[in-house]
Amino acid sequence: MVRVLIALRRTIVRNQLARTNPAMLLIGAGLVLLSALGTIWLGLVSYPSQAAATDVLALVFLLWAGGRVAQSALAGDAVLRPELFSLLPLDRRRLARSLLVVGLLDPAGVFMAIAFAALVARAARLGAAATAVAVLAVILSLALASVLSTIAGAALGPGSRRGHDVGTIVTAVALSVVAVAATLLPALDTALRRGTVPWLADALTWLPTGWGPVAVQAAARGDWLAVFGSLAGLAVLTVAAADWWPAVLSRRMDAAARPAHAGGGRPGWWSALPRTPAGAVTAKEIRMWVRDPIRLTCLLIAVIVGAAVCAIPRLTGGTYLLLPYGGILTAVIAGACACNLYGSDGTSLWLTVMTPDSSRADVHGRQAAWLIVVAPYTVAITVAFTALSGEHAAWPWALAVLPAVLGGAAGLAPFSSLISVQPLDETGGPTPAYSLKVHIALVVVALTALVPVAVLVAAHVWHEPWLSWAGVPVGLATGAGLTAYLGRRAVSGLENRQVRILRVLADAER
Amino acid sequence: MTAARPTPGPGLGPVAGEQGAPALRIAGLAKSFGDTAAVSDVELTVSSGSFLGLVGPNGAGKTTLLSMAIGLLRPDRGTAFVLGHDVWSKAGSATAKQLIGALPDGLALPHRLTGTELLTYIGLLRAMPEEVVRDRAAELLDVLDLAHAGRTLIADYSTGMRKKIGLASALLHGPRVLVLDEPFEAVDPVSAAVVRAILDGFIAAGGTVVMSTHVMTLVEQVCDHVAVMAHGQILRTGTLSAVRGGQTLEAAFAELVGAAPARGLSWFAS
Repeated sequence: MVRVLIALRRTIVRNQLARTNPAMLLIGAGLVLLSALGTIWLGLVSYPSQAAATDVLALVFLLWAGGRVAQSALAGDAVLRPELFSLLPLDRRRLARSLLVVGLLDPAGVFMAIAFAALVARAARLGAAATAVAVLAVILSLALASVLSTIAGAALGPGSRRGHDVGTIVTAVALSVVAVAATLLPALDTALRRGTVPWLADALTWLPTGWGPVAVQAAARGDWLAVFGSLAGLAVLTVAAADWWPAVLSRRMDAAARPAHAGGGRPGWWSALPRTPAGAVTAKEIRMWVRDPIRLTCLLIAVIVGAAVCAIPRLTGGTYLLLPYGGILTAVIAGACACNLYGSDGTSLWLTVMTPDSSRADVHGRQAAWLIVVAPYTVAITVAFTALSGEHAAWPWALAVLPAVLGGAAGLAPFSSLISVQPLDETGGPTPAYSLKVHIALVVVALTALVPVAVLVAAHVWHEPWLSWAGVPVGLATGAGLTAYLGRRAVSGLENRQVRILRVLADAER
Repeated sequence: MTAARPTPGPGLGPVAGEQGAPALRIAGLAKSFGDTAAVSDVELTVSSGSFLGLVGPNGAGKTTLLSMAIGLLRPDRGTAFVLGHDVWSKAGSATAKQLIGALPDGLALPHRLTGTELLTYIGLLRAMPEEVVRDRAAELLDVLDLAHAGRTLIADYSTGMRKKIGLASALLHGPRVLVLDEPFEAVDPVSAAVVRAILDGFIAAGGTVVMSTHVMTLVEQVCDHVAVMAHGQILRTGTLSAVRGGQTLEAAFAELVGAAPARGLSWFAS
């Protein structure tokens, strides 16, 4: 059966790849490969102590394994979905075993294996015994990560609508934590090398992803009991997870999609919106931001990453420097989340195409909805964090840049959504090209703050405090101008290109 | 084709078509995908008040033709007129789309809205008064037996329910010409009777229906005109009796498209 499944997987992947932009695919694969090779480098450099090396390697093992499991939970197995087999008279345990083996051969595992080789590289400095232990630890860690990602894909990935929605939102938190840790890797690396955050070092080595590096460190000092304990722990966990897998698979295959009800029967607060074409689009879009797990996930990630990246330096380094900008970073990420609205809505665009003169309402409604959803909490985070930081000089910076970014993102949302529209994949998840577009949008949204930042820098250079406060109206004007100008461009873009975009989306769904 | 009932009834929309113009005129529409000609210079005229069934085998080009006729797929050549308004001209497209009620096949509806929310969204997007939207949406959901699912997300609708909510969306603004791609697909018999009653009422009020389907018996029951399509071309069009020519529509269809006689599977005999 394994051979049949591998052949099936190969065929499906080949067909999927035929429809993927090869440049996007190469860039995506190149970035992951670069990260994997960069991780090996962490195994080759010198550390002040063996314990510091163990902590750093435990951290990167956690990031790679956590990222892999979270990615599976978010997207599920986009190729061999369990539903494919639910009507076939197959022995469930045998199917489960076979899917597990196929999961081990997943290409993502290859990148992870390259990254995990960092442990072998580190162990090579410590002698032959440590190297042998490292190889064993890498194999066991890869197996555990693979089994857990297979389970996560089936338990939380797209199956029933409700399971998918809950899974996506739960996963958002996990992914955000991994993303925050990855962003802060250099700072965390330094902190772990210096041993300034012992609680983090303890946590990393207690987690199963830290047991491999712990085993290598134990082998180097000849503590064979610790070596055996760590490796046996990994093996037992892998076997236990593999034993649990058939039950998870069975539950997924038997789960009937139960209807998911929208909120209560009472009219939502958005019934206060004007009963106009633009008001109708605004109400629809707000519902999409709240109900569509991909959009909601992105907004959650924006809050967690935006606020955490600015708050963590306070926790680890004792500096308030970034705290006032948590809201701005959140707004930038939430803006990037809105860079592919037409792609994520799919072929429902036909309703706009068939409604005369609806482009203006569609664009303005989408802009208003994004601002209604994002502006309140980004303003609240900015005000609260700036006040908390006690950095009085940061007020004009925070208050000048935030409106520019909010307005810029509201302008860019419909405008960028019309450029290089990226349809969702077969499971309704984002494709690698979609993710790449979001990353590019992050940079573009951030650039909308250039004008007020220029004013603020000038004020700083010339030591003119009044000029820095002048940055606030400049930021407001920039934001309003970008919303209006890019919105106008998007209206004419939608009028001219809607039929072509609908075709792209329809072809992708075929 | 003969004009059956040219005067629109009170339930239909306020936008008028050109006097005496056919409900739908397809003028030389053509579309190729790569080297494959999906639709080849098709001409077709549908008189006001008629119920036309567009039949053809899988891959005949029916969906492509209807998509181009209503403005969802840009043709390589040709155009379409709805009550005299050019679907693909800047001047006529808005009026044409106001006159059309469309149920396309294979295109999604916003999955995360409930049926009520979808109809409200579509009605307000068309700048209809709120009370009219509310009343019509409630009646459509009730008549189409979707009222109980008013709070269920469309993502959790069955295929038949999606067809019905799609039909409700097409009818909401009071169109004059309904273009329906496979409207009865996956619809249960009770609901199918309801849909047929709605469409009969629409025709009686002066509306026009163009419907693609594979089900010949359905066409014989509800349509007064038929167009047979294969290989991207209209092979024959006219009244139902003229196209049938004294035999069943199925037999006439098989003869027209040159279908091979149906065969059983050899291993069943062994």
